[in-house]
Amino acid sequence: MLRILKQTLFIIPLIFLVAGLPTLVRITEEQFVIFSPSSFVVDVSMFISDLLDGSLGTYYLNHQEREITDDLWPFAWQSFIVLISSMLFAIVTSLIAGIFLQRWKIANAIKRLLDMISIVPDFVIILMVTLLSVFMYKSTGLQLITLSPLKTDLSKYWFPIFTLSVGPTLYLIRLVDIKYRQIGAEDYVRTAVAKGMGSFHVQLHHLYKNIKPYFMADIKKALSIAVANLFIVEYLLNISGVTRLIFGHYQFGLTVIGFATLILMIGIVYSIIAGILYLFERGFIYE
Amino acid sequence: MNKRGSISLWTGCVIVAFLLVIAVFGPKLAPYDITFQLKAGTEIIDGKSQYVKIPYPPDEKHLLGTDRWGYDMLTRLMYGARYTIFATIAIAFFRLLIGTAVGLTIGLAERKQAWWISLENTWSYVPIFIPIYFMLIGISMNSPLEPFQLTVIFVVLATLLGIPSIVSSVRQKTEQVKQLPFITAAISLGAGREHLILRHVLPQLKEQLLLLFVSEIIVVMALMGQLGIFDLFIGGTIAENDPDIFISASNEWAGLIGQSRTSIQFYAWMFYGPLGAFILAILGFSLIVNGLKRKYETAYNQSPYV
Repeated sequence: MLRILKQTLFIIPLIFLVAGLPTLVRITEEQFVIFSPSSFVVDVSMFISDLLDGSLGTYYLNHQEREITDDLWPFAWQSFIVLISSMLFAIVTSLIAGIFLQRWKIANAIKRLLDMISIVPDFVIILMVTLLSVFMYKSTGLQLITLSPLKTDLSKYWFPIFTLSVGPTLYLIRLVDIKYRQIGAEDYVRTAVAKGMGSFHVQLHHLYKNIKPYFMADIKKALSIAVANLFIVEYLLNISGVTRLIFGHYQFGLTVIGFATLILMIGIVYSIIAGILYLFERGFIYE
Repeated sequence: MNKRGSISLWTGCVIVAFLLVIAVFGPKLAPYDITFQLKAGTEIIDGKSQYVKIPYPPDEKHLLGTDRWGYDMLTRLMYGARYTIFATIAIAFFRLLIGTAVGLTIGLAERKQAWWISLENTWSYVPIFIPIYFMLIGISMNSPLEPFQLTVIFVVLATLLGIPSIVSSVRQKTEQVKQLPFITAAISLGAGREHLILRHVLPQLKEQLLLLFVSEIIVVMALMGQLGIFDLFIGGTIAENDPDIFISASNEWAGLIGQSRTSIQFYAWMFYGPLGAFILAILGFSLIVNGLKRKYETAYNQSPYV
């Protein structure tokens, strides 16, 4: 509890600092890099006085003043759905492909192919997936993608989820595979196999259990990859999500709230994932 | 070292050598001058007068076509290559240099440096392009500085922010090496700190450092690409409003990708040219990483029982 409190105390000034950077460091026509803490202090105090008034302040969208409170919830909800679904997809896929389908030749061939794809940086993959779906629409008339934020059907969700899950999935599959190779060569695995235990049993009780600590650490990294890609996916697919608040037209208060919401969201997503994995363990392994 | 590893290593080296040649001699080898601008108008071809329109699609005169303003894309790529290649190599090099020094110091310290480890942990989850974006946006957009100066600023920032991850790997490896018996032996024989680092620890890290260097180049390229998507180009962005147009001042490749992203629908060549060059560069470095990994890992390879 104390650690969380400490971290929060550390994170809040950091958010202010990062969000204030564009006003803090600027350059003038005469090529002077100027450092102006005064405007930063004004921004911060304005923001805090807004908070003390009980509102989150307002922002401008196309010269229209809007309440941040009104837009925050739908924006955050959209991002949350996309982020958690793609993370869950990545985790389930990587566990199934990395541990339980390890003996399938097809799964391994696909994994080698994915390994090659993972050389390409995520932002290129996201661009390519988008282009591919447009190409598919042109040639088959099958519409997979919508760029309209006003649509309410499923196409608003599933394509961003799919695009966003590519990065973390590739990352997690590769790491689970490496760990499987290391732990699969341990003596206790050999003993279990020699005793005639089924391969699924060994995979579940000997491999999964031992891969899990590493996997939990990798999930954090995968989540950070997913968040970095969330910025790109929301920007390219025109989704009104929380990153829109950060990378929209720059306004200090808006950026601070965007960052705070995003970090809170990451915490919630991580706890949900940890909870699901805990339930999985209780349900299937320790019965 | 197996055969596939060595093929991968050599192909990678050839690609990277080719890129280095382009980066050094690009402006001399370019088919046009960087200021050459193709003008729209009529032109006599085979006795018939034909209308030349801009952007000009790829053909034998302009291998990669021209952009919206009639500048030859291949020429722009060749002028921009030095920014992409040298900036990435410089960042990777300085990250490694400083990161190794710090990592060795912390790894060999008597006690565990808890504050550093917690910093390292936290930092590893922060997507680096976000702080860099916010730092550079005030400096890099419509900047009075030269592309070269802006690139130097970017190199410094990207180096500083990327150091913790290098320190982390070097520190962990150093701590492993520190446990080995020959270190204890060296210490009991009276080896000093410098001797220990130069003669005993660094030789153990050699292979990993080389691998880190090349992987770091790829990481930096991806970072530049992410920034490019958000119209922050290395070497400066020339931004115009109404309509929103962003132009890369240095013709850096990731910047050209970001710049031509909006042209994809009608003038796809403007996008695929820079993208192809960028992917070729990444492919070259990745092949080297792959080859090196295979080379080092064959000795320790294990195969699972299940």
